[in-house]
Order: sequence, then structure tokens, then C-alpha cells
Amino acid sequence: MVTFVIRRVALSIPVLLVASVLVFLFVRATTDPLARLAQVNDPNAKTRLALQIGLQEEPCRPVVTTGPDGNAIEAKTPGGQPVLGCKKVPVATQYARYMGDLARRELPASQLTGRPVSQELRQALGSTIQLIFWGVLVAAAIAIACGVYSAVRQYSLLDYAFTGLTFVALAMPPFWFGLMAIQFGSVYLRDRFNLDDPLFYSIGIESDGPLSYARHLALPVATLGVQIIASWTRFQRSSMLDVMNADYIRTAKAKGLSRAKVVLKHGLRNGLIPLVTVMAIDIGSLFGGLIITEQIFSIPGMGRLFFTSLQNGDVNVLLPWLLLSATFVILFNLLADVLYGALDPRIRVS
Amino acid sequence: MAERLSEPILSVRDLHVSFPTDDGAVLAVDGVSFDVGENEVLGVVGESGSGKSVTSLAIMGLLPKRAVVTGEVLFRGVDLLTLRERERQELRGGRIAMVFQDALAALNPVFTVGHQLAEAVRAHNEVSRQEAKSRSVELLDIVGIPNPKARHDQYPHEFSGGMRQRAMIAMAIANDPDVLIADEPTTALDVTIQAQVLEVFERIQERTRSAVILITHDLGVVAGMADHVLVMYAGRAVEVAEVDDIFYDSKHPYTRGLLGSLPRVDGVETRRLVRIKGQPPSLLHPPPGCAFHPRCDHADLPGSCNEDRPELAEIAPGHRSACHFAARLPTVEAADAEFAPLVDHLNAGSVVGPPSGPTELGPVDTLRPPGEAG
Repeated sequence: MVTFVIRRVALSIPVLLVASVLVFLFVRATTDPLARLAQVNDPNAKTRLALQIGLQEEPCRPVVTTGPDGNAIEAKTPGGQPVLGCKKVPVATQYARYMGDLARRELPASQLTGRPVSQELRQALGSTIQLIFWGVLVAAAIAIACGVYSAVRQYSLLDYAFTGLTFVALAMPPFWFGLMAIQFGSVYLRDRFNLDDPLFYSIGIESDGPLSYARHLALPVATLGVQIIASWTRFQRSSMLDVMNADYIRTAKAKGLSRAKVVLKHGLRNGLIPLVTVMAIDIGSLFGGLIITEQIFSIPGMGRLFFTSLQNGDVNVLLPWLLLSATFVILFNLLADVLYGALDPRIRVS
Repeated sequence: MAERLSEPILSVRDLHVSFPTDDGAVLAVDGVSFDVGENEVLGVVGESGSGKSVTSLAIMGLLPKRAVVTGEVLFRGVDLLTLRERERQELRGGRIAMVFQDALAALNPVFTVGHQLAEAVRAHNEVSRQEAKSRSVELLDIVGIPNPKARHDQYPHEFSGGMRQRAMIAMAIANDPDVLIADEPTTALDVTIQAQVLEVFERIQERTRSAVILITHDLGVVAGMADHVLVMYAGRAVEVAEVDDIFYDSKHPYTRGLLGSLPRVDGVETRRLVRIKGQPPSLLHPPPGCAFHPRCDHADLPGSCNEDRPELAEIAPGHRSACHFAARLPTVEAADAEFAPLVDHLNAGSVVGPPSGPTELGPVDTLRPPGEAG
């Protein structure tokens, strides 16, 4: 088992490196960090930013242009300073230097707020993790319960009901469901019962006590949960159906075990294996994937941070953000592999 | 050979099992009756789809809910079909146990073999984990698994095919059952391993004196183990007799067909293997009259065979056959003689095909079409 884990970890390192190269190239190719200075008249401001970000490097020389009479003259800024031109840095070097800075934890600060990116990311991650933790907890509990029930009582009334509901849930985009949830949970309920405050809050995560925490998180967690509950329920149902038709379930029954033991021990222990791995992979992509939900509920999480950084061309945040969410995807894929090995003894030996 | 010394432990009376489908009911088992007594082995033989396995699952109470089961399954005089699920659950694995055919699929891949054995022990006995464990090590030893202590903590995939089947048997005998049903226990195994597993069975039965229902399509297994034989065709019992009568004095054309498809390796005869022509009938639309008539060489057509369904009738003491012509069938020796001209014909080389001879293997697919199991 230990060698199995070590091998899987070792395999994910090159994946992470390739991901970082791609992320770096894509950001450099798609986002012009100097564009936000388009309205600034001073060409040296752009140069200073380029130097700070690492697009250019010393040596810098005054830029010489050709005057109207053919003479070489030094270009001047509107303030009368000489315009400086610096050496461009090749992208490969930029990447190498950036990774060096990352290793030394010396990343450039956010252009928007001026705060260190590590601080920005840590804060955003804190909010997102809370959302993911509760969302996944609730979703997993409901999805497993509904999936197992649907499989054990296939074609029962409740099975049909769950199937219908999952399709409704899958068909509802989160932005629509989120807005509806606010309309109902915050606005309608408050007006209907003449409350001073909304029953469920639609903004932010606050925690003055568990009750307030729950009232803040209920709607975003529901919005996040609805979709994953739906897909996980379908998944659990089909894997459980497979398992319940397996020969070893018949053997378990033939031993004289109770129905509960047959379903919950022999059935669920096998039926959970595929879901757990799917869950791990899904969770990995949630770290960077809650952009809409966080935007709707004004939660200062990873999704929101990405959105504002993208809008403002803040590459200093965008780059580490993308690297971090890629890391989470890879990490949770790794976790999925390891869990699969831990849950299924047949995988461990091979 | 088996004189019935005691009252039967298990009696099946007029068992019917049907599965409703969109196209109508499929009658998988149609009026089967038999008895098994203590220390007795009943061989149940037939092609795929003849209702062997469904019969055994009906006895165990493991058929899907949609199955409609009527008749009686009397265990020591109590009709199991009238019991409640809880009461049946107590009998399952306790007094009535079953060995399934594909042990790799029938053992849970995520639990150790020992855990699954101990579970069977604990399902019917109030014992501690430790006691259950020592009992399951003992069981592994009984079925001849070397180094049972270490094997106890291994997973099914770490066992060889033969050992897995032994572990299945160990699980079935965990509570010294009165009735042991073995559904094709050797089908998935190599021939050499088959022999070992059968030997385990015989040894076990000496210990437990269980009534054994041995379901197989392998007549060789039946010849070696069974006291009585029940031949099934299209959900019905077509011949019931002591094992010697089945092999030397069969009174049903279908049984004869099965026997004819067995290769002889003793060098006595040089006849070509026969096969039963055609396919097993659809259980949804069984043929009128005798279900075997479209494939029968002796059928009187059109006539009684496709009009009247022959009932299982006693034609000799302890020998029953469901054939209109049971009494008039030629003796087995005479029937063998019928093939003599064919063998000569083949030996003359006028037919392109494999050379005939004592070791010739003809079509043996009649008993089990590839990829299917009884």
C-alpha cells in the first residue's frame, strides 16, 4: 500500500509541472497585464509595471527616436523625463524565474489590492473550503441515502420520484437556482412572515454563533449541493444496482444474513467504491469551480477572487490562483486513486 | 446404493416457478417433485435453462420477488414457502446451505475469506469474534486448504480457483447444514481441481450426513457422487431413478441423448458421439405435448407426442419416466448397436470429418452452450 501511494504521488509531480507550464503560457498569451495602464500617458509607468511583473529586465536605456529633421532625439514623457526602454525577457526565462519566486515564496503582490497574493489566496480558500465542506457533507449524505434506496427498491414510487427530481436538479443552472433560492429563502419568507431579518441570508459567510453561520451558509450550500446531489445520486444508484445483482450478494443472502447487513455491509461497501473516487475528483474541481455560486452569494472565495482578478487583468493573482486550483485537481485525483486502492483490495496488489 | 433408510429431510412437491414478462409468463419450473434423505445425494441434471438452478434458488428462497412460486418445499415436514422471510433467513445458511458455481464472483471481493466465513458462523451462532475466527480457520482446514491460519486473512482474489471453491464449501458447511445444495460446484474449475473439490464434498458429507442436492450438467460428476438422479428438461422432471438405472437402463430419450453425448474413454466402444438435435425449447412458448418431441428420434408425430404431455410415471420400482414410449424404448445396448453402421460408414472414409476412434471428440456442446451456465 505504501509503495502504491508513493508511486502515485511520484506520477503526479510531472503532471503538476506540465500543468504549471500550460497555465503560465495561457496567462501570458491571453492576459495583457499592461492593458490596465492603457489610459495612462506616461510610457514609463508601463515599463515599471513590466519590470515588476518580470516581462522586462534591466538594462534600461533612454529610448531614442528620429526627430522631424532626421536627428536622433531622446523621447520624453509628458513630465519631461526620458522614456526608458528595457530588455524583453523570453517566456521560458519568465517561467523559470516565476517558479523560482514561487519556491522562495516571493510572489509579486496583487496589483489590485497591493496585498501579498498568499494572503489573498488563503482568505479566499478559507471561505471556499467552508462552502465545499458543508456542501459535500450534505450532498454525500443525501446522495448515498437516495442512491442506495433507489437501487434497493428499484422502480418503486420513491425511486421514480428521486429520478425525476435528479433530472430537474440537473436541468437547473446554479445561477438560476441561486437567484430563486434568494428570492424564496431571503425575500419571500421574510415578507410572508413579517420578519425583521431574512430567514436565510444571501450575502457572505458570517459566524456569530452556529445559528447565524447556518443561516448564512444554507442557501449557497443548497445551490452548490443541488447539482452534485443529483449527479452523485444517479451514480450511486447505478453502482449500487450493479452490486446488488452480483453473485456475492446472493451468497450473503444465502448465509442467512439480515437484509440490512446484506445491503449496508456487502452492498454498500462495494457500491461506494466508484462513488468515492468520483467524489474525490469532483471535489478537486470545486476549489476553482464555484465562481457563479460565490458571485451570487457575495462569498469572498476562490471563484470570486478569480472573477475580480480576471476583470482587472491582475496576473499576479491569476497565475498563482490557476496554479493552486490545478494543484487541487491533481491532488484530489491522486486522492481518488489512493482511496480506490484502499477500498478495493484487488487494486492494492497490482 | 441408496435404500431410503429414513424419512426424507427435504421434499419438494409439485414446485412451479414462473416469471411474469411483458410477453407472458415464463414457466421456469413446472411441477417438479423430489425427496432427499439424510446422507443422500440427489443429482439434478439438465441443459441450461432446464430449471435446475431456479429450483435450487426456490428452495433457498433466493428468487427475485417477481418470481411466482407455488407448490410445497417441505423441510422436515414444514412448508418453507409458507414461512415468513425472517424464519426463512434463519434456515438459510443454517439448516439449508448452498454452494454456488463461480466462487470468484460469489465471494465478496472486499472482505477477507476468513471474515466471510466467520460471518456465516456468527449469523447463526452467538459466539465471540475470536470463537468465530477459530471456527473458520478450522473450516478452512476441513476443506483441505493448506496453511489455513494465513489463508484466513487473505482476500478471495489471492486464492486459486480450486481454493476459492473450497472456501465456498467451507462457508456452506459452517453450520453443519441438514441440506446442502451445490449448484454446478465444479463447472468453473479445471478437471484435476474438479476431482479434488468433489473429493472434499464426499469427505464433508461423511462428516455431516447432509442431504445433498447436486446440480450439474456433468454426468461424470453425477455418476461418481449421486445416489438418485433427477433429469430435468424445459422445467419438468423427465426421468427420476437410481443412478445406475439412469446410466444403464435409461427410459427417456432425452437422458439417452445426454448419455450419448458423453465421450467414452475406456476404449470399449468406437461409436461416434451423438448430439441432441435442435435447441432447448422456449419456456415462453413451450411445444405442445411432450416438450422434447421436436428433438426426439422416437417421437410419434403427429400423434401422442405432440398432443398429450406425458406424465412422470413409474415404469419400474423407483424408476419414473415421462415418456409415452418409456416401456417400449429399445434397451441401451440395442440403441448403441444402432450406431454401428454409422461408425463403419465413417471408418470407410466416405465422410470428411475427424477420424473416428476411441478418443474421438464429437460435438459436446449439447450440454452446455459456450458462455452459458445452468
